[in-house]
Amino acid sequence: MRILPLLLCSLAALGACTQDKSGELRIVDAFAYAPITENSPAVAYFTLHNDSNADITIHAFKSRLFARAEMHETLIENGQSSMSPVTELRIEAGKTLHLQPGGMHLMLMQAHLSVSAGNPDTLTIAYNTNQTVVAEVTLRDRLADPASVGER
Amino acid sequence: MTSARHLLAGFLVLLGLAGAAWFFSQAVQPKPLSQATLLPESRPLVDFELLDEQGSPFRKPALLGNWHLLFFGFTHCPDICPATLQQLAIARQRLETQGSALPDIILVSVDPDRDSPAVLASYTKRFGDGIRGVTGSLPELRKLAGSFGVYFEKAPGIDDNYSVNHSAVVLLINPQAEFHALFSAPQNIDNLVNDLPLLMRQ
Repeated sequence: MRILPLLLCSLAALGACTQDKSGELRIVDAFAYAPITENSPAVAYFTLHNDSNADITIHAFKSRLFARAEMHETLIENGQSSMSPVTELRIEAGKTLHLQPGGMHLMLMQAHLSVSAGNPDTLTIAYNTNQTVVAEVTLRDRLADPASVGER
Repeated sequence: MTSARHLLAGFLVLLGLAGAAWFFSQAVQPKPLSQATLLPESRPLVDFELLDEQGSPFRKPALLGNWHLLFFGFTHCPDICPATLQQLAIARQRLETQGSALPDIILVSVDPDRDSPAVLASYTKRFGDGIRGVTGSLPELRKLAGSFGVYFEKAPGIDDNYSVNHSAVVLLINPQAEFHALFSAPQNIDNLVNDLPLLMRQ
C-alpha cells in the first residue's frame, strides 16, 4: 500500500512529494527556493499535519544538499523584522502547522556542492523519539516562479 | 402633444447631463491608496556616502531624476529580504507591462561585513532589471536608516553565522531625492501595483 503514494508522486511530477514513514506526521505542499548567490541560504516551506491523536515534537531537520538545516521564524512587529531560531516545535494532535514566506521557514545553509534551481533535495524531519518523515523538494528559482511569491 | 414631447426632451436632456456629471465625477475622483502611506510633505534626504555595486561612491545625487524604492536588508537573509525583493521585482514587471512609470529598486545592505559590492552585484542581478545594491560603513548606514526611522541591529551568532534584525518597510523616494511615501510590511504585489502609479503621479 505504501507504493501507491510514491507512484502517484512520480506520475504527478510535482515539485514536492512526501513519503510519510510513520503515518502520524504528514508533509504537504513542500517547496524550496535555491540560494540566490553561492553563500546565501536556501529556504524551504511546507505544511505539517499531525494526523495522530497525540502531540508531536519535532526536534531536528536534515537536508541531503545542505550541511545545516535550521528552523527559523520571521517576526514582523511594528514594521520591524527579526528572525529567531526554533529549536523544538510542538504540533498538537490533529493540528496543522504552516511554514510560509514571512513566517516560519526552514533555512538551508552550507551546500555540500554547488546547487541551483532544478536540483532535487531530500528533507528529513525527526520527531518524537526516533521517528522521521521525508519530503522531496526541487529547488526553485525565485523570479521564475512568481506564482508562489511570498505573501501572507 | 407638443408639450408632452417638450417634457420628454427636457427629461432626456436632464438625464444626459446627470449621466455626464456622474461619469466626470468618477473620472476625476482620486483612487484610494491600498497600502502606502503618503507623507504629508516630502522630506529631503540626509547627505550620505555609501558604495554601489562597483565599489564607487553612492551619494544622494545618485537618487535625483528617478523614482526609487529603498529596502534595508542583507543577502544572508533567507526569508523576508528575498521575498520582499521578489515582490518588488514582480510589481515592477507588472508596471512595465501596463506601461506605467518604473521605480528603480535599491537594496541597502545592513550587513557590510558579508555584503561586499561584488556580492551585492551578484545577488541583485538575480532579481532582474532595475534592481541594485548599495552598502557602506555602519555609521553611514545608521545615518541614512535613522533618517527614515529604520532600525537595524546585528543579532548574536557564532562566527559568520548571524542574522541582522531590521525594519521591513519599503520607502519611496521621489526624483528630487526626497522621502515621499512608505509601504509597511508585509508587502503585497497587488497593492504595490495599485499604489505606485498613484504616488508617482503626485
